[in-house]
Amino acid sequence: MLRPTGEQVSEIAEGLASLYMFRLVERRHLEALVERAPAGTWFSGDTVLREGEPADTALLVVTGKLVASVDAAGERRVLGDSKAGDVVGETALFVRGGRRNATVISEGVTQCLELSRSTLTDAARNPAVVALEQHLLGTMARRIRSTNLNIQRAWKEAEVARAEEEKGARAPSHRERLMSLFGGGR
Amino acid sequence: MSRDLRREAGRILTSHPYAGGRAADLALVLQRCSEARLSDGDVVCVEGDKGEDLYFLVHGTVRVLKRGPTGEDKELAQVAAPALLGHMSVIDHSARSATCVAAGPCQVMSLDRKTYSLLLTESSARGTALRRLLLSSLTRQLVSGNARLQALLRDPRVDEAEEGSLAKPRRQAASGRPRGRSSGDVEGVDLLRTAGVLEGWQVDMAGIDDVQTYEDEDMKRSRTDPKRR
Repeated sequence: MLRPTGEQVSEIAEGLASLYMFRLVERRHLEALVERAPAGTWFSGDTVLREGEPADTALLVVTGKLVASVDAAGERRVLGDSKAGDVVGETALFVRGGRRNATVISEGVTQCLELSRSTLTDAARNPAVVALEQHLLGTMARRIRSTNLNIQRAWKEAEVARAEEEKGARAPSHRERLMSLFGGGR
Repeated sequence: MSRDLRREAGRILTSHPYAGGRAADLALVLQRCSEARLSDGDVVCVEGDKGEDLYFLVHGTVRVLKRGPTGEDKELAQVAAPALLGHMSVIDHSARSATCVAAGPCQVMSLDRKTYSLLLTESSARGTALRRLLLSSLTRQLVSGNARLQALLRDPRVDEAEEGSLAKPRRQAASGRPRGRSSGDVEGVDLLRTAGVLEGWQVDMAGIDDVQTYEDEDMKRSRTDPKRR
């Protein structure tokens, strides 16, 4: 990972200014955020975060793309990707002692801001941090609803699946599709 | 600011801790709330309604009810103070997913959407306190939900638990664990209890309809409009 020089701070702030969440934030506040939350650049194939490692920072993708995957019985299973404006590993900012639950690889050249708990605390009054926290609230609410939906579907389908199993062959259930995604199995 | 508010804020922080959280700051949020003392059976919020307030349950217990297919309300859980209620609807503009009714005398402090929206954009100590409290709470729900989803998908014993837990509410032994169930069953109950918004509640999944994911216009534009990104 390369750290930006002082001259690059302004360029990164410009990248941040193009993100929707920062549309109302003045450039000087974005530059202040970049100075507190150093940017890093990763190249294609670089491992940005590794599954199982302690998690104490989050990444805000400024440009490029990250791909998350998990190890499932020796195979890599892709969970999804993150693009400009997405925050990766945000739970580390609010819960201590967590670990990365996926490995994240850079696809192409990716630039991110590295956010820590102290970044948010020290710059709590920076409007860029305020905007970031508002963005995170919406993101997390969406993820929780998605998780709930998956839990409920998996739970309900289990009953149906059990009945169908008795009848013989059947199409894969939502639970089984999720199991293949997360690497679960009997 | 009254000492009572600071004490209530301290109690909320104990059950919803976040880094750098100070009771004095959260008390400034409570200062903007309307206080209501409820009697047994009084309604806090109604399933399907638009979420116009988030609630801090500071004293008492509420029953959480969900309408079943036949139209009758079924109790999913009881939530005791201090607790946050109804915040998901205010955050993402979704409809209330359940009805909350006072189980005995309760004290509730409600923050209306207009004030919430105002505080949310403030860089003041109270604005930060509100955002961090909600973020911390959502993070725990998310971590817990993800862990339980993975456990559900990986643990075949969960299947054994589903049969009973889907059909009827559970009774708990004094230890807090369901009576007379296998360890797989306990895992199953924990899964339900930690299903995101239902964190900490003992629930009956059969009464829960699928939750629709919701994006407000800001979220949608942020996600889909390349010029905005």
